[in-house]
Amino acid sequence: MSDRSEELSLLETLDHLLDRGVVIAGEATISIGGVDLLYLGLNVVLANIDTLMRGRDMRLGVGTKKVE
Amino acid sequence: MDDASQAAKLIAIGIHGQLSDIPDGGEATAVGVGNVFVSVLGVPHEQPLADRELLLRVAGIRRQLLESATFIGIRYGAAFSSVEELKSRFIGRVANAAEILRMRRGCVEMTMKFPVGGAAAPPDRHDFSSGGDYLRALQFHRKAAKLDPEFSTLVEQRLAPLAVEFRWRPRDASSVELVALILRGETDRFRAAAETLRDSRQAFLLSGPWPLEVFGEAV
Repeated sequence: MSDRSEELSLLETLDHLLDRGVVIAGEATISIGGVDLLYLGLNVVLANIDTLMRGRDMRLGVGTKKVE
Repeated sequence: MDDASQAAKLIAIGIHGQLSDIPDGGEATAVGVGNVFVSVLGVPHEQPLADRELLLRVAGIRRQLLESATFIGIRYGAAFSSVEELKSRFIGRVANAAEILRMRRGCVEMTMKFPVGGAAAPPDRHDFSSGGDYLRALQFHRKAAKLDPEFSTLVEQRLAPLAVEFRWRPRDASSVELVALILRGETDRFRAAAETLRDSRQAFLLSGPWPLEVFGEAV
């Protein structure tokens, strides 16, 4: 499988994991290292994990939100 | 069940019709709720849900569970501190979930995403004095993506005969998707039929099989 295909496959897998399926009331807040994660979509999650970690260290309030 | 009851945090993965649908020896364990079973992964409380390794681990478990049997996929993020808490959250869903699993046992979902070109730019918050107006405009914009009707008809002609049921869904302002509920044994035929659409100028991303996600909602 090419890198591009693998990337698409991973993105699609995570898209389904994070943005599909039945929503159970009272979902936990997704947080990274104590920073609540603003889940706007897969791209935000993927793109901002590292950013959020860096942001926390730098004490920047980067995109925080709850899953619900 | 011991693993589930002793773990600090239980991540719910899917709802299953039979205990045997959650294989012994796998990473997921089963929690019985009414007459359905919830597959869970126990993880240390301090492990964040957004941990990349954990996300991939749960994705892998979903794949393995789907190889075993049809189940209703639960959106990632449902985590509980005890079996009792989990049961209390799921008990209200049991009857409907059991009915869905009964009706759709043996089925999986396949997804085709279609990028839609030429979508208008999303509304700019600064152009609105009212937050409500902005949200309405944003919602309208998100639902505005449309596929060429001729192409969507072609898609339906080729794929609908292989599907038990299908739905078109706007994903966002620039893409729409077709979600097809198909029998597990039809995945290869469905894939082959979908690939014939590559001849068209419309790009798409075909993926699956997936658990019941869109078709896992209320019947």
